[in-house]
Amino acid sequence: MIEDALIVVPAFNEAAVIGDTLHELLAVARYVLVVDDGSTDGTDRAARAAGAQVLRLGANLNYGGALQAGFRYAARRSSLPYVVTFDADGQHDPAHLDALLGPLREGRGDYVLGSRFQGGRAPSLPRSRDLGIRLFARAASLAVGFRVTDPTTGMAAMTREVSRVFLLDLFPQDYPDADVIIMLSRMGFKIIEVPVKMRPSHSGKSMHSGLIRPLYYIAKMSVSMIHLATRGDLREKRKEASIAA
Amino acid sequence: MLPEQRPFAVITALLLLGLIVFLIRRRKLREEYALLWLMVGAAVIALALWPGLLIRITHLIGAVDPTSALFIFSLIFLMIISIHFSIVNSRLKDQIRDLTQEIALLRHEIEEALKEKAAKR
Repeated sequence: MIEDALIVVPAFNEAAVIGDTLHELLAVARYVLVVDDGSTDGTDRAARAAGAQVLRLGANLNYGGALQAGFRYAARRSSLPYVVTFDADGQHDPAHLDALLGPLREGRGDYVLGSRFQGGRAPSLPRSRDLGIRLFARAASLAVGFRVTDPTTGMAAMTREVSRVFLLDLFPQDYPDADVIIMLSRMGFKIIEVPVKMRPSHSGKSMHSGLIRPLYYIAKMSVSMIHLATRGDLREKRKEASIAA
Repeated sequence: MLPEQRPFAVITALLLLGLIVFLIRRRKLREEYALLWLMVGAAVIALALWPGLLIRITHLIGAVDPTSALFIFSLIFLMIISIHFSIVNSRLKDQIRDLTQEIALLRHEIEEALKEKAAKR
């Protein structure tokens, strides 16, 4: 039973699948917080019925904004040393949680990403998505000095301090990606990837589908990465975040 | 500017100024946003009443035709105001995000407190 980490599960209209996800999750972890990102299908009720704590956002803030609400809860209402982000749609396997938390417990890292591409072939992704991931993985690797393979992963474990840094305005409201990795690395945090296997998503909806959206996303992410790779005050921001909390 | 164009320019500027003042009084427009528009109205009146001014500005920026000088400045103004709106929008978005997260946390705290109270009874 994992009792040293708060598992944050952002969910938007996942009522059909979140019960199963939480059932699995609560079997291995005690503290699970679902952040209902303004769902209209009763996701919050389904999550509560499954036995999780639920934060219900009155407006849809998008993935990053929902995660941040969870980090706020972690800073304010919980004293657990670690925070884990976990998707609601059944893609993530709770069996990997200990592998994710291991490096944190041993003091080998501050931010541990679960990578689909490290060891074992990933489930097939749409072409545009794949291209974006590879592009940003390359850029992130270049910036942080080691090989990052899966910057878009939603499965990550972090120390309390990192989750507080994520309360800064610098944290993206849409999808934390390579930009966040660059930011943390430049702040002096240690980042590690561990291999995880992902299952096909139950709900089958992708965050980056269509033609225009991936293009917009690539452009936006490029700007964000350049911004965070060139900003001069990230060390001070790190201090600011720990003082504020 | 031809003399017969002057009344139209002055009337337009006065109408614009009147509209801004009306909106401020009705509290439909906050003073800080009205400032830019009031300045535009004042500039148009100044240009209409003092034709030599536009000619001088035209020479100053190296334009050939006063009309192009006018268009350049309108474009620059519209660009500035668009950027200004983008800034305002970004700030509003940040504030909405903070409020939404804060409300969710408070709601959760209240629910927990009520649950505890009910359990005690």
